[in-house]
Amino acid sequence: METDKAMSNIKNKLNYFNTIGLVAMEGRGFSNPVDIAIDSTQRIYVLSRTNPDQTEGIRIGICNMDSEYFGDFGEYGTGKGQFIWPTSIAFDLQDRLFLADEYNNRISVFDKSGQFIYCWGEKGNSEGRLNGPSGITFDLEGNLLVVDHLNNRVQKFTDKGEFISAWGEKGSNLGQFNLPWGISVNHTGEIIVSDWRNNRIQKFSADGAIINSYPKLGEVDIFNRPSSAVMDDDGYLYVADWGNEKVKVLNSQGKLIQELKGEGSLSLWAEEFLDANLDQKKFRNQSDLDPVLDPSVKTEYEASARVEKYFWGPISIKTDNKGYLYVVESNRHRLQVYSINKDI
Amino acid sequence: MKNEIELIAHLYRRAGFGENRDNLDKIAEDSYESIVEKLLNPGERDSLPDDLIRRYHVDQSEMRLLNSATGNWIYRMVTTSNPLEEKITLFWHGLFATGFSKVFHGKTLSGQIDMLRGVGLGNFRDILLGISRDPAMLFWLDNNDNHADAINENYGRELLELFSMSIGNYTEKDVKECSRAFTGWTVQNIDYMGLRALSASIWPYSNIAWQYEYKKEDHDNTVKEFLGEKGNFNGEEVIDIIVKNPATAKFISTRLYQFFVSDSINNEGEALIDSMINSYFDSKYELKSVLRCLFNSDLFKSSKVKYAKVKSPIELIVGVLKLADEFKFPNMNIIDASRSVGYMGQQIYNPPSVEGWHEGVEWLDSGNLLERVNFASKYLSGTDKNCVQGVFNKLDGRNSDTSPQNLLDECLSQLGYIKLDKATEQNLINNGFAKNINNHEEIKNTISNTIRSVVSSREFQLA
Repeated sequence: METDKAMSNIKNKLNYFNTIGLVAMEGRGFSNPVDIAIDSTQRIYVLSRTNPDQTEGIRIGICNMDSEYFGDFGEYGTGKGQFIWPTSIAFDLQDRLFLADEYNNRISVFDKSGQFIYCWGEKGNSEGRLNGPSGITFDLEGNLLVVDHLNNRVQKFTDKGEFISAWGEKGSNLGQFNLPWGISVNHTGEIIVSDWRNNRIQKFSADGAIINSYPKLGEVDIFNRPSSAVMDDDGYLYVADWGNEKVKVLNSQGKLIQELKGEGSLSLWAEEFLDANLDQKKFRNQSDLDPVLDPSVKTEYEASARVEKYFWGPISIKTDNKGYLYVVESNRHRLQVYSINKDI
Repeated sequence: MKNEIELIAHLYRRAGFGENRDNLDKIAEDSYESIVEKLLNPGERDSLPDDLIRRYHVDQSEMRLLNSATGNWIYRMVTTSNPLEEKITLFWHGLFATGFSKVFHGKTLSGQIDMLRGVGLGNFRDILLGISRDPAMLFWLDNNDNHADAINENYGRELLELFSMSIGNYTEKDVKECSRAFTGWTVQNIDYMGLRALSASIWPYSNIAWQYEYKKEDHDNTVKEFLGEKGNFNGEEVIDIIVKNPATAKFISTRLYQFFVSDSINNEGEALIDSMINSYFDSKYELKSVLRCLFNSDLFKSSKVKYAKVKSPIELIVGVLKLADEFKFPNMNIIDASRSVGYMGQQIYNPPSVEGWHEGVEWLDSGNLLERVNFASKYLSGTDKNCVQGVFNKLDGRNSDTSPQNLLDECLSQLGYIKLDKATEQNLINNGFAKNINNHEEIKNTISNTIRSVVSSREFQLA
């Protein structure tokens, strides 16, 4: 690939830092995590969506970069404070945690300790109603932006759920969507939407006017079902290229400058597990965990199923204010953390 | 015309999982033989896209759990445009029964099914080679413990007994020689993968999908004598010898006959099996030729074999969901479907033993029958259901002829052109209908009740 050649000649924008997590249905660990949110004290809230046979695994776990674990909250169900298919979480400026649930079609609000405060949302397609809320984030004015994905639009609400505005419709032209997923806001208030089934990222002004798309309309696809993207203060775009099992970095001109397959290593919790299970540790250490792939492996998805360090289900990307980027991997139940090179 | 469409409905119940009325009407625009050819030569695979499934069902993206793998396959069985491809894969799954109880990883097991889907309508040599290199099978039957200096006969024995020739057609020495030929065929990182499977460990980061590995240094690289032939055979050469053996042709033709035609074999059945054996050899072991012979035979098309096989639980469930027009988009009903197939006694991906499931009337007991009827009623009856609405729409277009006979006929057509036994039909007409129904709500309720009765009939439970 041409990009490979180009990329080998430059320093990396993202550099692997560490891994946080472990698969666990309860307590310390994650169960099919789908998103994170970072509070004002740098604690990381990890949203586990889990599976239908182990619904006890649904929860929001709290940890930090040093793998300290502070407990969890949340439960499966349709009652207030419960969730079935949670998709995304975000903190407001008061450190209240907002959660979107695409099954219950509502937004639930919790305090930092996990106490349920209130919820809102009703199913429908008229203004203010929701059909499959997926990504959520706050704009610079403190309004909640919700990707109302089955209605193929973005809706803006007050924190109480009062409708402010909406834009988007089904389609593939600029400003239109096909099952959009993640959403984020950059430091100037521009809104970044992962237009999942159109294989692109779209950038909008704070009031929803289309600014740009990556790739541009008519250009060759560089993403396959991107699920999440964030843009840093210098205009670099970091994309969870979910369908390609990769993370991609575009510079401010929209040029692809780095492509990552994943470098997951043993987290502190993983090391502790292996130290307590020495038979597994012994055989693991004797194994080739970066094997030559069988010729039958034709897709990145299948490759990632076989190589543990690779991203597998990179579903969400978030950055903190310390210069780190977090990749949430739903299939590997962990976060891979990368440092962002500010010198590039 | 009615006989023709009922024949095509029969073909689709056996070669697939049944079809709804609208699909059958379209399919029937072709001749029977052309339809068979299309089933045998499917085009590009088309089913509910994987990306959509994986987005909503994160567990099916990871594919660690039994129900996740099951649900994923059910999605495909219900929505595929190539029903025979899935049906033959189900056949191979029953024959090469490999279970979650030991492998403990849905993704590795679904990898086996993906492989079988790819070769299942192809050459029997490729099928045996594929299953012999499949990591789930190698671990399931202990071939990872089959070493040059200490053979383990489990895989070699079952390859001959259960997968290709059946007992009585080879000697104990052949089993040993066959096993020697498969030494060195194992799973990559087997010590770690095997330990994790046997201790049900998913830590630290869930399971890693297994890969086949050939360890040359662990292969018995000496001369073997197998089924009368002598040479320094590896597994491939042993399979070459197996597929050309008449016992193999008889075995595979018989198993296909029992799966697609009838549980029991009479004289006509023996004659058809003989024809299938000829097709097997004439085509150099091509499954397509054998199945073409089967589906185009007079016996398969005759009334003698229609409604003569009990639908397996997965056949029933997939058939119902197809009639219900389910899964245009991923939804929670897949969880119910994947659990129900287990409740009814056929947990796919986890057969009771290496012998697979005992089919036929053993699928039915009082508990299972209730589950089957309730499942079908849940998805097909009820005035808000597609099936009821479909009948209602047809009636509405015919000036609401709601005579009991017409209403029942429409329901039977909607359910895939089912033909009931005369006595059952008359009983339904005499006792199942309110008189003088004339408003939409009454009509829909009557349709719903009729469908509920039909799905509990003998014919609906049979294929």
